[in-house]
Formats: sequence, structure tokens, C-alpha cells
Amino acid sequence: MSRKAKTTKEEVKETPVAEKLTTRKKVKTLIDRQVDGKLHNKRGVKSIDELLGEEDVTFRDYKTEEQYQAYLDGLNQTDLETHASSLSILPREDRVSMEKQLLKEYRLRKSDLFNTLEHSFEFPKPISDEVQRILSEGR
Amino acid sequence: MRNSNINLKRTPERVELIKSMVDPNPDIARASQQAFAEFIRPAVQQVLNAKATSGAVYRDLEFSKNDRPTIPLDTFLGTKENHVRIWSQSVAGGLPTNLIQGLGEYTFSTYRLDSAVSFYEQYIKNANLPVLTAGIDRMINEIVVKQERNAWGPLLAALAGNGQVYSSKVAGQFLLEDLNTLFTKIDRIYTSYVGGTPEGVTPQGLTDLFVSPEIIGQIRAFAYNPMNTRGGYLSNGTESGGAVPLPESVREQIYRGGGLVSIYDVSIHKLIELGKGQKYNTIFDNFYSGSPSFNGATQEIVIGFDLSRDVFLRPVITDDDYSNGQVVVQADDQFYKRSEKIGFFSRVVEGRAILDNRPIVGLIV
Repeated sequence: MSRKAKTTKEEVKETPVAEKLTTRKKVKTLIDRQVDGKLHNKRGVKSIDELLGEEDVTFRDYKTEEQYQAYLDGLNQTDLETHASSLSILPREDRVSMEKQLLKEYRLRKSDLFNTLEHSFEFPKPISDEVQRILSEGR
Repeated sequence: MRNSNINLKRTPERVELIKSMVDPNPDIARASQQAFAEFIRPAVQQVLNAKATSGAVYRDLEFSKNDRPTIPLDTFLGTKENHVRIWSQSVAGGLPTNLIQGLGEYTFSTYRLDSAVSFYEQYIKNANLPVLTAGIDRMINEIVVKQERNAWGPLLAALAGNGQVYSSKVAGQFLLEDLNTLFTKIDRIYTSYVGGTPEGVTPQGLTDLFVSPEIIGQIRAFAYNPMNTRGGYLSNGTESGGAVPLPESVREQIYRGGGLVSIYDVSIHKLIELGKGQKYNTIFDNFYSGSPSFNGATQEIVIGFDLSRDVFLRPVITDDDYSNGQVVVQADDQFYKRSEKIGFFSRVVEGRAILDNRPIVGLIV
């Protein structure tokens, strides 16, 4: 039969006061205690607009898939459906498949949104006067 | 530039309209000039489209002048790749640029090409149709030259940058073997996005070949020259010499037709600007660097296209004030009465874009 180890008075006395203060349970703020029906809201503070579902969020607002996934996680079912509708995606009741669909669309649009135009080909030789003259016939 | 000209038939109504363009009453003269401009506009557009050799490569995409000239790339290319490389030219007569862009909405750069012509009133008073048509032809030709330079610049740059340039089997000679090589190469280049046989939009492979008059001459010589690049084999396994020409029927066809318009179902187009030391050869020489090496003074480039791919686009702005036409022809109002001239000007607003440079191959001969 196992015996439960008793905490002696000496051990309690030895615990520093500073340590006690740091381990004290954090008092929840009003926002922390907000019951909004979302899966979790640990990944960032939300604006009032976002909480009210009035912010027009597009793919452009999230630069990585993780950020977008975090945003989706922070949405309740109604917000998720509203977000899908705003992107012209048919809302579904099944949250998992809805999120999957939104992430798929995000991946498709990501390259378009975040890859800026760039010159990738440089002419190997300086453009000669003769070539410039020939091309300038097009002016 | 292809040979196609305006031909005005001499009818009493036309003669009357032409003479009234120099009527002493300026209102009547001006109205007649505008009526004549509107009358020749469709013909100008038709001839313009027929003359440009680049018309065989590019496909027109018409946009209204109040519209933004854009296309959704993912719909157009049907690709699942994240990026596309687009060759275009932002200003007329400028250098081609190469842009990498995600699959989104692509906005074309368009520019205005224009030309003007004027006539002395004495020709118009006499309704001198040959002078009038020659002048209008000149106006069209000037636009065609501009179109051609702006169309071939991006094509040559796209070819120079795609690494799909090969050399001929025999230096200085264009043989069926070379055409066969281009076929194989272009088939290998155009795979599906997973590297397999493409599905859906089936590429045909090589469809068109642009060559110099010298290469056309070599094709004519197919009628009397051997064509094999390897001999037959003897029973002991050694290769025998022996020249083998094309079949009799093909050689006869070449002889009677003065050449061939297609080989292996590939259309052959003649370009005066190709050939040693010629304009497009010189441009390609300046744009290209790599293996095989190329010297524009001693070698020439043959350009092959797979035009089954809808990637060579010519956005053109139509004007609803002119029956949604691509070409606008108007009476020129810069001439004073004492100059005894009347004139016309014409303009086209267009651009060029190559959405994918893989359907172009080059052969250094």
C-alpha cells in the first residue's frame, strides 16, 4: 500500500515569496473571459471589429498558411460561414471540410497575392546600337 | 511582311466622293474626307491583319477602350504551377521584358502605333486612284513594320531565354533530320505539370517554322539532293555509304511547287528578316548566349513554334466610336488651305504578350 508523502511545515516555509507571486493564478481580463463560441483565442488579441465580425478579411491579410489557419481557428461557425461567403465560397455546416476548402483556396491564391513581379532574365550582352536601331523601328 | 495591298475600284460614286474631298466648301471637303476615311477603314484593317507575318503567331484578344486589358492567367493557362513567366514589351520599340508572376489577373501593356499620309490636292481633284491607294498602302505598311518589330522582339527574347536552342546536324545545312530533332525536343519539353504525358489540352508539337529565304532555297534543293544522314547496313553489320534522296513523288512535288509550304505537316513561313546578318538574326545574336554558340554573321536561326498552345497573345483595343474596329482611320486636320494638301492618319492600340516561352524552339543552322 502506497503512502502519500506529507508536506512538512519546513518545506512550506522554505518556498520563497517571489516564487509564490509568479505562480499565482493570473486574473482573467474581460476579453479573456469573453464567451464568443470560438475554438480558442490564444493566438492573438482580436480587434473589436474582428470580434463583431465586421472586418472584411481577405486572403491578402495573411501572409502564411499558419497565420490564416490561426485566423480560421479563431472564428466561430457563423463567422466562418460569413468569411466563406465573402470569398464567394459556398458555406458548409461541416467545419472541418469548410476549413479545408478555405485553406485550399488560400493556397491557390497565395502565389498570386504574395509573389511580386520581378525580372528574371538579363540580356547576356549589352544591347548594341544596331539592335536598338532595329527595335526602334517599332516606335 | 506579306504582299497584300488595297485595291480601290473606280466607280462613279467613289470618284465623286474623292473629288469632293477637295471641294471649295471646307465643310463639304471635311465631311467627304471623313466619309472616305470611314469607307477605307475596314479595308485597312483587313490588309493590316493579312500583311503582318506575326499574325500567324499571335492571337488577337480584343478589349474595349473603356475596359481594363486583363486576363485571368489560371483560366488561360490551365496550369497548376504557381508561377508563369511572361514576355512582353511595355513600350513600342523598347526592349522586351521578362516577368515572373503568380497565377492571377494579368494586365497587358498596350501602346499606340500610328502612321499618317498626305496627298497633293491635284491628285485628288483628278481622282487619281493609283496615287491614293499607294499612299494608303504606305500608311498601312508603316504600321505593319512597327507591329512586326514589336511582335518579334519579345518572341526572339523568349527564345533566347528558354534554353531550347539546338544546332543543325550538318553546319550550314537544314535537313529533315533537323526538323525531326525539333519535333522530338518540343515533345519532351511540353510535359504535364507532373512530367508526364499532357492531358486535357493536347499539344500538337511543332506546328510552324519561320525560316530565311536561304533555308527556303535549301528546302527547294530537297528535290535534287540526298537526304539521309546515315547509310544502310551490310550483312556483316558495317554501314554502307550511299546517298538516298526523298521519294520520287515528294521531289516532284517540290519541283513543281517551287518548294514546300509544309514538311511533316509543319507550315513553313519565309521571313526576310531572318538569315545571316539580317535584322532578327542580329537581334537574336544580341539576346542569346549559351550552348550551342551562335554568331549572327555566319549562322542563322530557324524558329519553330507549337501554335496549338494559346500563349502568344496580341491584346488590341477596339474603339466603339469606329464600329468596334481595331484600326482607326481619320482625316488629318493639320493642313491649311494654302498648303494644298489633304491627309489621313491611322492608329492601332495593341500590345504583345507571351504567357509561356516553352512552345518556341530554335535551330542554329
